[in-house]
Amino acid sequence: MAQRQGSAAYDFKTFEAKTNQKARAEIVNIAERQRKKNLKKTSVSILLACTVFIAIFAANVFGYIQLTETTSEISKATSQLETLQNEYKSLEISYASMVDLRNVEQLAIYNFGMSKLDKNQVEYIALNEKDKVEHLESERGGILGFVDDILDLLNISH
Amino acid sequence: MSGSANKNLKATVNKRTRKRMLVIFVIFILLGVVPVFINLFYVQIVKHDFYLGKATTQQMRNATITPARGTIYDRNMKKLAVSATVETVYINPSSVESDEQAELIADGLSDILGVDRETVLEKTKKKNYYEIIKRKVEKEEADRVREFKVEHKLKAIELVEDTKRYYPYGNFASSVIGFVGTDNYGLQGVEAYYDEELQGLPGKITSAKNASGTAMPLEYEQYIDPENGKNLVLTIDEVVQHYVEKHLENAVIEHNVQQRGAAIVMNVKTGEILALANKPDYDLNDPFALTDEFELSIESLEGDEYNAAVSEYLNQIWRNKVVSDTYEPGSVFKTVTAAIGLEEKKVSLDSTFYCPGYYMVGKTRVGCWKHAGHGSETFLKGLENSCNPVFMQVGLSIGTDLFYKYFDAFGLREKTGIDLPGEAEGIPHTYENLSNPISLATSSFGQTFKVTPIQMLTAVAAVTNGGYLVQPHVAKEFVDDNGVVIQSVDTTPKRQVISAETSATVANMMEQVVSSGTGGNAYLQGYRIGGKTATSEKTDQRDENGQVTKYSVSFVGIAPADDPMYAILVMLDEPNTSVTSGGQLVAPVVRNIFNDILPYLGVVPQYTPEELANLEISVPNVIGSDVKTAKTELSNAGFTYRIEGEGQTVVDQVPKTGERLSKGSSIILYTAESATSSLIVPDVIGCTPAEAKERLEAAGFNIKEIGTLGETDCFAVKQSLAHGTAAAAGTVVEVTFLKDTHGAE
Repeated sequence: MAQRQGSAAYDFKTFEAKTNQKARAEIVNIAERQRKKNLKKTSVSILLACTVFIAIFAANVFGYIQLTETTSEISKATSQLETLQNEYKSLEISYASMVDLRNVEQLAIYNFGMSKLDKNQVEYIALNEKDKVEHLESERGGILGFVDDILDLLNISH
Repeated sequence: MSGSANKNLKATVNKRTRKRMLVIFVIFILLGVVPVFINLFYVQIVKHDFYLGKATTQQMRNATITPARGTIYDRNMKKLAVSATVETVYINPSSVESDEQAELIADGLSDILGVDRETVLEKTKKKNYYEIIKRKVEKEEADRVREFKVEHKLKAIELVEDTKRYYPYGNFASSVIGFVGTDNYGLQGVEAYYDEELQGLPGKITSAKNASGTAMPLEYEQYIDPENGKNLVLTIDEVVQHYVEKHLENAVIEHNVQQRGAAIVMNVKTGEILALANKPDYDLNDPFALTDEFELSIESLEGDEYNAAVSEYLNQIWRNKVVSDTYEPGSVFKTVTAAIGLEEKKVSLDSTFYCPGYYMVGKTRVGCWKHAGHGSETFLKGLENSCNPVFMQVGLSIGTDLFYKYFDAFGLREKTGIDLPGEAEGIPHTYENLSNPISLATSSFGQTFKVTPIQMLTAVAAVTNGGYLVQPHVAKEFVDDNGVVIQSVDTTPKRQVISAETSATVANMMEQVVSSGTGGNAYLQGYRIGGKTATSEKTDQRDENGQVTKYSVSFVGIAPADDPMYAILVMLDEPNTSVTSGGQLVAPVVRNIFNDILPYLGVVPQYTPEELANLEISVPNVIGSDVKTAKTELSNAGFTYRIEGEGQTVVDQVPKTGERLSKGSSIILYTAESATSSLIVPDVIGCTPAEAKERLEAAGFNIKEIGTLGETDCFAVKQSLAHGTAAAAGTVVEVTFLKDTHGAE
């Protein structure tokens, strides 16, 4: 405790120490608040960084999972396609063996009572003229039609 | 001390404590995490390559991708041979857990796959990891095996992908197509000849799979596409092949042929083979199958004897007689001798000869097939009659040098080079042998030397196509899976052997053989067919008395004779009939084949007025018409008629509508519901066509002639209704006529 010396009522030094103490306390408070603020900021940054890191990591893992799943699906679909193609081939082979000429002839003659074509049922036609092709073009009206007419006059193909 | 001082002290103490705790916490974290990071660093960085290698070995799978074997098509892109995926069932004996499980596996697999139960059981007891139970299992069976495996949780049963070759048409073109073995390598036919092109090149896939076998993405994944086999398009025409096989098979059965029959159809201008058949043959889907008849014959054999018999049988049935067997060509070769003689101007069509039934070559008497002799004849007539003395004289006048040279030029001393495996060379005379007049004389009519059927047909093609020796071939081109042609076969002729003029002359002579010679049984209305018959002795097979008792008969036909496009050779080796004659046994086969294939191939018939007059037409349907209308319709069609009953409406007719008869045939019209009159069929065997027609019409029947057209020197050999059979009046009796060409020629 400060000792009273002289006219203590007007000893402003007593008041000065108290003022300094108050000022120092205020400084400490401000520093403390600043420190707490900084701490908060740091914590938030660290949290954000961790979140981003985890998010990237999760996305990477998810990507790999998707890739593996898709690869597996492609593999299944390819296998299915091969099975169906094979089945198609087997059915084609079965069909071909049923329409074997021998079978067809037997069925036609013995089941349906059909007979082969008479020679005089066939008429041969001689084509003496060369083949002709007639190409029809639609008429165009307006300016284009006028141009076509000019070209026709000049015997230029269009 | 005041309160605030205490507070400060507390704060200081707390701060110090927190600091210490933090430090300890950090130390513990570091103690835990740092070793982990050091280890991670060590594993992932320092030992990166080592562990990557281990993971790769564990996860990566190297698999060979089997290429698809090329498909074989006919010339019209009909699939004749196709590959499809099947499965092979195998067991892992080391995974069989108990005897009960082994029994279960044996029971199940033998039931599903049709394999022997004891064999399967034996395999389950072996000390290895891979025992095949059955290869090339179809999907239905494979699915049943899978169900069985899953149902009983049998780890020991496994299935692996395999391929199987299918031949949709069974034994169709078996000699040409051939078949593949269990490892999908060609063993016969074009499957063997073009095996490399059909196989393709395998691919490779390197991928990663996890523990359950699922594919994983892998940076090292590599996929090398397999190169599928090329698809082969043959020159074979499915329709032509069908008819050739049908008629050849009928002939082999009808004439009880002992050593198989062979037939070839060739485009003489390009050498393309449109059909090639040997009968009997085998089913390509089951080439190791034995006929019931054969199995019965070897029932008593066992062990090595049994195996040897089966082996011999299979080799015989697989053998392509057309390219692998040699035979003495006989009189078909006279077409070659004729070409040489005309080309070298040693003879002309009008050159005259005399045949007393034999010819003396030095002191040796060589007979003609007609023992009584043909008498005086021209060279043309000599070919028509297939007269041996004529050709012996022509051969001797040609001489050894020229004969030997032309024998070479016609390709008869070398393989044709046809693209089928197992081609044999002929057994020709050496120059020294041919210098012997007897050898030269007998060679001139096709005896005492041997050629293959394909060599003979190629030579005949050269004789008739303008003189060019073509390259016979069965492969037309290779195409990819999209049908784009990758490779074509060259059809350039090898060389010109004779002039176009000589070729045309010989073709014309061959036409005369059919129209007025020994080849009359090959005659076909509306078509100009040329041909040559052959009945050749098997001179290297004699009985204990030195007599030849075995023959092969053949016929070569060309059409159209004025500009030959197609040639057919049919050969029957050792027919077992009372009559042995190429003209009687084989010429009708060639006629039947031409009858079926020429319209299909677009050869237009050109009927002579005589043929038109005798053209068969269908009987119209007049049932239900009134009698007057029926009479008019039948008259307009060219038929005659007879009315039975007093009614005004036709209630029945014989023959029925659709029956084909020649103009002038009689149709019986019934106008009352009375029973049709029943008559007895007379015997017409041995009659000429005119005699047979008269006899049948007098008995109230109609005749349908099969064979020659009203010739006088042919006779009936078969009638569809036997003598003594009762049949309705007007019934058509089919009578088959043959020209008398009996004897060796």
